[in-house]
Amino acid sequence: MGRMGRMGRMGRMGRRLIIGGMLLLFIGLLVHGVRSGDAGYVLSNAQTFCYRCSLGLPDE
Amino acid sequence: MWVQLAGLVAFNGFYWRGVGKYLCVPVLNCYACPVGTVACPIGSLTAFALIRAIPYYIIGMIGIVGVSVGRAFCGWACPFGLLQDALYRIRSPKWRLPRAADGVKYALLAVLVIGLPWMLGGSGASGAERILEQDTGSLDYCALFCPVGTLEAGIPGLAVNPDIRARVSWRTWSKLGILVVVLGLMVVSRRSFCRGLCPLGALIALASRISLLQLRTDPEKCTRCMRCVRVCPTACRKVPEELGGKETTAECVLCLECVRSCPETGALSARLAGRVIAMSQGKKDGKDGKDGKDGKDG
Repeated sequence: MGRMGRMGRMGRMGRRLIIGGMLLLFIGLLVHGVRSGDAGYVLSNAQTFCYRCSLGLPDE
Repeated sequence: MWVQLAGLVAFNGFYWRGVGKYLCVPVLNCYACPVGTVACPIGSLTAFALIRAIPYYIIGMIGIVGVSVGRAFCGWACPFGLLQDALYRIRSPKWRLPRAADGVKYALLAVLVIGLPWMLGGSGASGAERILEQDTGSLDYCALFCPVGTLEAGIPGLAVNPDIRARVSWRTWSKLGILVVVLGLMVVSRRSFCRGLCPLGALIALASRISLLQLRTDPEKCTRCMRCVRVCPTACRKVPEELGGKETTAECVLCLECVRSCPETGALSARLAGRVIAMSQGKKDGKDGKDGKDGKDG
């Protein structure tokens, strides 16, 4: 196998490692967010955000 | 188009409304819409910035989507993307958005979604408190700019609620004006909102360069006919020599129009984690971008 072939294979492996690491990191952040109540805050915000707010108007 | 219609129905229906809004889906769909079923990541991000909290849930969700399928949700599932595709079919002079416009969405994300709410907000305020304080504190993307919110929630609100009509202010007129300008842009320039103004697209684009879903051109089979360049809705396709190996750019919404239109079998493919999931089939009589819909803009 030539030098370029080895470098290409190492490049692909490195890329896969970076993508795998980032996916694990983001899955960890998602799980931490859900466990710390972020999803509940998203729900409460979604339920209280009204069409007045979408026009930039103050609520009652 | 059928996938986009399925997305429209999935994210806008009366069913499972309460539970569904736990879920942030990577499409721009206002959660104040009377029929909206899921939460908007940009509205949620703004809400987190207002209480100066780090949104782990949203960063995780956007990161997973960006790294796995890039901006494919923009091309395949976003209801506002469907509206753009529909409006672009209206016969009118077509215009190409300048390349510099691509950067505006990053500025909107940094300033109106994160920066200003973070600076003006305060820790401890709940979503309800934030809304009660909107008289003074609301200078964010949702309240000042978002044309999706104006269309899906503001206009229905104005139509059914006389109280809202009585309280119309300069902000209302400003948001309605922005909506009209954005809709006009959609008619004359293809996917103009995705390219220039969508902060969610900007957020996903940050991770999409290394996504598992990538386009690949075989330089041996590509005849440089430029058909893929002409049909690209976000005008981000180039010939292989100009791409320099980076085919899935930050602006690519992975709609696969280029793959469908390619007249050479196997010259262009979409790969998910290295596996081919779509390949050009060499339809010589396919759309060539000269029918007035694609050619003038792309």
